[in-house]
Amino acid sequence: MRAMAFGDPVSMVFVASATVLSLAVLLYNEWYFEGKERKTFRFLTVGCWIASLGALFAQDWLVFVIFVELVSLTLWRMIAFADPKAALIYLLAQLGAAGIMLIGVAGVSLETGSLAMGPVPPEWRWFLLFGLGIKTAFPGLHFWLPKAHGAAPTPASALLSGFAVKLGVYGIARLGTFASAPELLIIGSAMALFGVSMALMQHDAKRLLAYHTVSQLGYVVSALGVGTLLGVAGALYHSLAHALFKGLLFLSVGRLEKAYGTKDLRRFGGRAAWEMPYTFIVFIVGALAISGFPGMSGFVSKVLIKEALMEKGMYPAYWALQVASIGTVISFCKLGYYGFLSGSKEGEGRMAREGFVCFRDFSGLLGMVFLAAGTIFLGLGAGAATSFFGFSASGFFARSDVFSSLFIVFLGAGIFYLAKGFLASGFKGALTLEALLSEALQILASVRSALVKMHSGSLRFYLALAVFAALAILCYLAR
Amino acid sequence: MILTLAVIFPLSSAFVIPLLHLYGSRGLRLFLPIMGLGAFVLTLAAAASGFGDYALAFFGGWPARLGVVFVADGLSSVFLALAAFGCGASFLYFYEQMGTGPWRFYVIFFLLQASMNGVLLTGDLFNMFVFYEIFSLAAYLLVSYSLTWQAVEAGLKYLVMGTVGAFFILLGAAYAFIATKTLNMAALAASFPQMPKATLIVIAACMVVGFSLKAGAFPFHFWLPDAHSSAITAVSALLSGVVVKVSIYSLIRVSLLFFGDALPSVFDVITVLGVLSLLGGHLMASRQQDIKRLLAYSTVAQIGYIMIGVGMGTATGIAAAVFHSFNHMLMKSGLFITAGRLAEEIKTRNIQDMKGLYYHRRGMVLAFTVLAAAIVGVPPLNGFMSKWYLVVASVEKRSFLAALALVFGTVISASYYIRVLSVFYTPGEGFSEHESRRPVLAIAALFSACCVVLGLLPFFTPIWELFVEVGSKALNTKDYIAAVLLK
Repeated sequence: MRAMAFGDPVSMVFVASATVLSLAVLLYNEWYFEGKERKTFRFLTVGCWIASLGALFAQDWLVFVIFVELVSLTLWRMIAFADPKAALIYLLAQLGAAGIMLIGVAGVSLETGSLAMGPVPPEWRWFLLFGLGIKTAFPGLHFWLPKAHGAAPTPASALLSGFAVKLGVYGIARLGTFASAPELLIIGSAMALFGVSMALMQHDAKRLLAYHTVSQLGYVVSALGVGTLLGVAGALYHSLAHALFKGLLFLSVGRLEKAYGTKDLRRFGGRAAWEMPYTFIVFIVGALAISGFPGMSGFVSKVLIKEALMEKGMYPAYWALQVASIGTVISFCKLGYYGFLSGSKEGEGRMAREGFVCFRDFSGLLGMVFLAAGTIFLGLGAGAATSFFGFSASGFFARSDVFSSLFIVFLGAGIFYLAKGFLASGFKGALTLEALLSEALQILASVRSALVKMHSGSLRFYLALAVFAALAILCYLAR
Repeated sequence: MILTLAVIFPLSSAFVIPLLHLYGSRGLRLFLPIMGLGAFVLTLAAAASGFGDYALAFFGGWPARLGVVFVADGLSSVFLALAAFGCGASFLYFYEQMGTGPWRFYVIFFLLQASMNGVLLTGDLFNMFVFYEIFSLAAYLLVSYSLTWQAVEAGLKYLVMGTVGAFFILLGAAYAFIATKTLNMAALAASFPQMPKATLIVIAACMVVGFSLKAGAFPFHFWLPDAHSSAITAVSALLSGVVVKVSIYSLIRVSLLFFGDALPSVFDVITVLGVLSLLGGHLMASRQQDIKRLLAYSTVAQIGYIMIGVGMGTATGIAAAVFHSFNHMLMKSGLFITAGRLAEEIKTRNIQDMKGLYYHRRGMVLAFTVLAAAIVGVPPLNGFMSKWYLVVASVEKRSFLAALALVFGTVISASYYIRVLSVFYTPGEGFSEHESRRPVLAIAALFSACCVVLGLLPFFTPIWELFVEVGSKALNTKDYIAAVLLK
């Protein structure tokens, strides 16, 4: 059994995104944390990176699940620094996902006699998809994501969004054959729309970004559903691009949070664009990239995905993604406007001052600049990067693509300008599965209290129960 | 010969200790370690002799049908090894703590070890019951050894429930004897398929209920949390690690030999009991504030895991159950030893009072962490591997409900073990500054190292294939019957 090997292009893309992002986060940690925590986070970030490399180089499903679990453990530890409860929910969700995947993996190994990563028999595919779906935050299975992101320290959020959820995508990519998978198309489009609409309702900056992770992963999943080489290439490119720009966005929002002591968009009201110009610039790079502005990485990957969808004539998914793009632009206008431009409040303390005063400040900025440079390189150097996948991309970036992207950006910006008042505070009462989940927990708690009542300490009751159980067993056997 | 010695040696040790005590403490000081070591080595030797092929010992030269026979095969070998290590650890723990002073403890301890070896080796149903009685009596006494009122009450509860369980076993054995005029298990196995269905059902129900009561499966588990948490640390480790496993062994042996072909629906019952214990144990454990009670309920849940494996009734299922039994011995003995020692040192068993323990008892808490991670099933520790094999076994039988229960149980167990660990690691004050003595730390470190090693071994060595072989050999009743009756 060959458990590990240096991978093919698919793993290499994910390895690249994990490595670049971990490096940037390592630099950023120096600025973000103090004292002992900084040491711990250095250690955890490196541990997370190593574990995800293990998952990406794994050649069989069992090893993959093991390493993904180790990634979850390191991230759990990171989130637990800020909020143990959210961290626990995160970990339990991941454990459940891993367990369900293991059921599928067990089935695969029994049916095919091998654990090798790759397409699996259809009956077991659903177990794996369900488990990977929790990790990738499919709509309905995403309950852990906003909580974990909202609570986590910024570097942990960046890692979580940047590549921990991508490990789920990687698994889905490994499941794929080169045949179109309608279920992935449907799930992917739903994710894109759902994520964006939830994001529009948030006024917590990090939750907003978290829901955008769901939405952007929707692009990736639907691209995987196309099942052509172009689709896979688009998915991989978007994964890489998303790791960089989402990491970038999280890190810049983290700087805002440290400077103004809040991540609530309604309370920022700062002059961040003037006080923290570098942060503002890299934020703009990230926001343009996620909106698909020409010249940025997001443009290239979105064009690839849309071309792939058009090529196969999958118009419903195509239009779903277009609508999601408009929503994305609106929501990032909102984040940029309320986060950086709208008010006149002054930031507090050392965290608000920006510059190259000492190594720590420099290091924090360097991490972000590093990611921004990567984002721009992926946008401008698209030709070089796509040739990595073995085809020429020159034909795709025709004038029409540029125009349609620009049209979406300006349309979104226009809508935001007109509906600014409406979007200012964000809606309340967002629909989530959390209510359902807490209902389930209630039932569990009542079962538990019934059990506790059974442990009354009365020996007579225990014996009676034992005898009744014995009778029940007898009746079952005699049936 | 070696099989008989594995029972006779601890048994005679138990009777020699009072005599030695009469002639002063020097003899005890000299001989007790030798006795402990001897029992350990002989049990392991018996395990080794039975691992490859069937090893038999006939008492008084009588053939199996007439006399009592000892049989060791793969299944009993693994459980013998488990008993050797578990008993060894708790002997060491107690000896390190108390020395040779409380000689009565050692009398009961060696009686327990001898009778457990007897249960694991005997090939005679009534003989098994007799050994069961000895070992249950010894266990009741050990539980109430500290003579606090909790311990006495727990011991009494255990006594009453355990006696009821023993009567069920005796009833089953009696019916079997009436129906077939023999008590030898191989001869019984040969004649069970011809038995009338009604008799078979009654015997099956009696046996399953009896052994489940002794093992502490869910609706019969009420004695277990009290007994395992009120006993002194060494005894808790022994009870949770080894004693319940002996009942699991009997359950596997009897259900496979007697009902494997004759009445397969027994395995459904065992699976259902397993799922119930798993869920009930985990749910109750998540409510506990007393760390030893929490561990005791966790034992109920882990017995559930093992019974799910048994209930699959396949070679994979039995192998996974046996592997998990062995792993659970390591994890739970280790957990009880570390947690028990910590609780003794700070004089409270309440989890909330253990805040910041990590900063004062680093080694013990680290060992506890590894063991807890293993029992939750964090990869790549041994708990993960055995749960994975259990999932494989239940998927193989297409019982997805059992597989989902395994997953769900793991999630709950993670939640409560994390609760304990997070208390340990939150900064806190107010503990006296002396670290545990070295030997205890060494036992804990050894057990947690074993957890890591056993988790990694299946990737590099064919250890799992060995367990599957044990399972398929245990399923092969024809060979067993032939080996015992034709010699």
